[in-house]
Amino acid sequence: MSPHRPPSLRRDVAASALVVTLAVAPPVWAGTIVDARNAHVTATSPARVVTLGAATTETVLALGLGDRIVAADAGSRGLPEAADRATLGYHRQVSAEGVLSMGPDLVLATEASGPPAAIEQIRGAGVPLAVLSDTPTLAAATARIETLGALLDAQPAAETVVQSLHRDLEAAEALRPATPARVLFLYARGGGVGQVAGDHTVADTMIGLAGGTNAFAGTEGYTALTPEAAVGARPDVLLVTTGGLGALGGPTGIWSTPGLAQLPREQVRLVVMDDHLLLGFGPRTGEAALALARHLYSEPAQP
Amino acid sequence: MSAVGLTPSSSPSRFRDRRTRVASGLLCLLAVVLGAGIGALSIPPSAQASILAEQLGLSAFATAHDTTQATVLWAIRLPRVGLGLLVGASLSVAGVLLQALFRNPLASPQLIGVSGGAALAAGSVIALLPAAFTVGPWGAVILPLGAFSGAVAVSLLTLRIGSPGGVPDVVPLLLAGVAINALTGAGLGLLVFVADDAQLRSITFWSLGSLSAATWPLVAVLAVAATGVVAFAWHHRKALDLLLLGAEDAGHLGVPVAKLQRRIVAVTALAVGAAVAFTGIIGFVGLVVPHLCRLWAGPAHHRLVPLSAMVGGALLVVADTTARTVVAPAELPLGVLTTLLGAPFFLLLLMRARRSA
Repeated sequence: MSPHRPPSLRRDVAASALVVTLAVAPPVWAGTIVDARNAHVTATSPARVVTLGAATTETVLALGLGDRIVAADAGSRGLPEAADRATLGYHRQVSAEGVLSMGPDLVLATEASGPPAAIEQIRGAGVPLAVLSDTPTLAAATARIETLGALLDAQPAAETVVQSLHRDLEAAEALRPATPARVLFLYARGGGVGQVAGDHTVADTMIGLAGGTNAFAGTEGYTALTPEAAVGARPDVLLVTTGGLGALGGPTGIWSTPGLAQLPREQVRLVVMDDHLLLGFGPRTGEAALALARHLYSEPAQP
Repeated sequence: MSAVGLTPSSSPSRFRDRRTRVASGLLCLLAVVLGAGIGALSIPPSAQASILAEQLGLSAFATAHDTTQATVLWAIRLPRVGLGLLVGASLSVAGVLLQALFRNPLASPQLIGVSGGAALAAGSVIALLPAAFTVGPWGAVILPLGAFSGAVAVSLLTLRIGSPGGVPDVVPLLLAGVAINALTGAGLGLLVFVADDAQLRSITFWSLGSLSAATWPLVAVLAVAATGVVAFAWHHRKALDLLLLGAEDAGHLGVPVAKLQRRIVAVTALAVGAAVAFTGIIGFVGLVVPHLCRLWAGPAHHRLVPLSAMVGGALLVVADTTARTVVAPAELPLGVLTTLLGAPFFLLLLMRARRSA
């Protein structure tokens, strides 16, 4: 607009109308993705999102969209930022009416979410529902971030999260020494009977990403801890989650467990990490690997 | 309680019949209204009327609801109420049949291994089949199919073992049931041992029961099962009365005892197996509803059978309504609630019956 000519009234009106329109109408976008079951899912400016599965919830939080989550499954309550949301119970056993009663305009589920009838009923009510992969792999974690970025119109945030995930993994990789530490992951819930993680477990993958060796490589899945096997595994590090530590009776309980009590205390360190961080395979997978790598290789051995 | 059932019906008893039927019908109706009216999503009566009008083709009157309300009422809540009535009726009438067969008030569908077989099969599907078969669309078919086959196979095995020389005998049948239940329990224990965390929780939740699988086609399937078991019990109401005298006496009075006993086990296995396959284990109903009804209307089967069907259906609908509302938007396991609601009520009735006796 030229400073010499007085602005025409018509142009003024048009400009202010545009400003008013932009200010009043919220920006509308429609994100479309192909989900893990090959369904095309379109979400239009979702503002009331229901998340099922802790990794799903954690990813939406990491994208900075936590304020849009109206309800989540019981497993997501372990995440402090999601603890105050309405809980929909166990994510394999959600109630279709319960989910719909939250008035969602987008439901984010995983392949494990169910029962199948409830998932179909939610779709049948016309609410967009995306099924995300729940395989505990790095590829699935990054795909989940990118998918949700596209669906929630948060591609830049998704890119940042993926980049920082890879940066953390590289940093963890850089810490890996010539002889990796032997890590024994001990899992326990309730009763105090510990199980150790072998091949094809989430803990095994995380130990690998952090540059360690699983002390129970060669065994399949989780097996009950037997005293002789624990001594024979010659671990450098005992890895437990915060929840597992409680179930095993704290450090005192762990160090008095048959088998673990016989380990050379001055050479074996106890590392405790948050359950969701270590085993969640969410957006903080890189952060978790780096934290574990630092525990393994940067800290001086504690007596 | 007097043994009214064995005397020919006189007119006061006929009056009592009608009163009982009206009362149990009203109870059922009340349960249906309650079950359809209450849920996590609030649907005012005006919206409900409008949705029903639309479904009945009277779209001129369908004005006061949105699509979510319509889906919830028509596709979720009403099939659940229907499923509750049918499953409750099947379990209760199966309980009536087995209590007559065993001449023992402790008998329930569980005793002949229906639930144990279903649980073992469902547990195997959950823990041993690759996840691709148990979650998602496949899971909706394979899990119930497996559970149904398990229920029927195990109860027929119990019947076979419990029939020395091809003739069912109450004591061997009872003992076979006890041993088979122990066996399925141990099998389930093995599965729990090999299952991972997620599978473990799925097995646990399955064994706690739920009506959440309800859809109209499923209601149609279970309507066949429920009609079958109720019609069978009604058809044999006199023979069931005679069976209470003991197998020998019933035989002398012209009841084809062995055939009837075999059929009772088979019909129960089919009907309860079909119900359990889709709902998981819903405890207590099959054991206690027949008792409640016997306290109410006496032991004669021409009263006991219809009354148990009505009361069982109503009880399950009320329990399910509670299960899906008390912790909304989540849901309590139904099997837990049937017992939590039913057991104290039953104990109360027992104490009152003793006092008045």
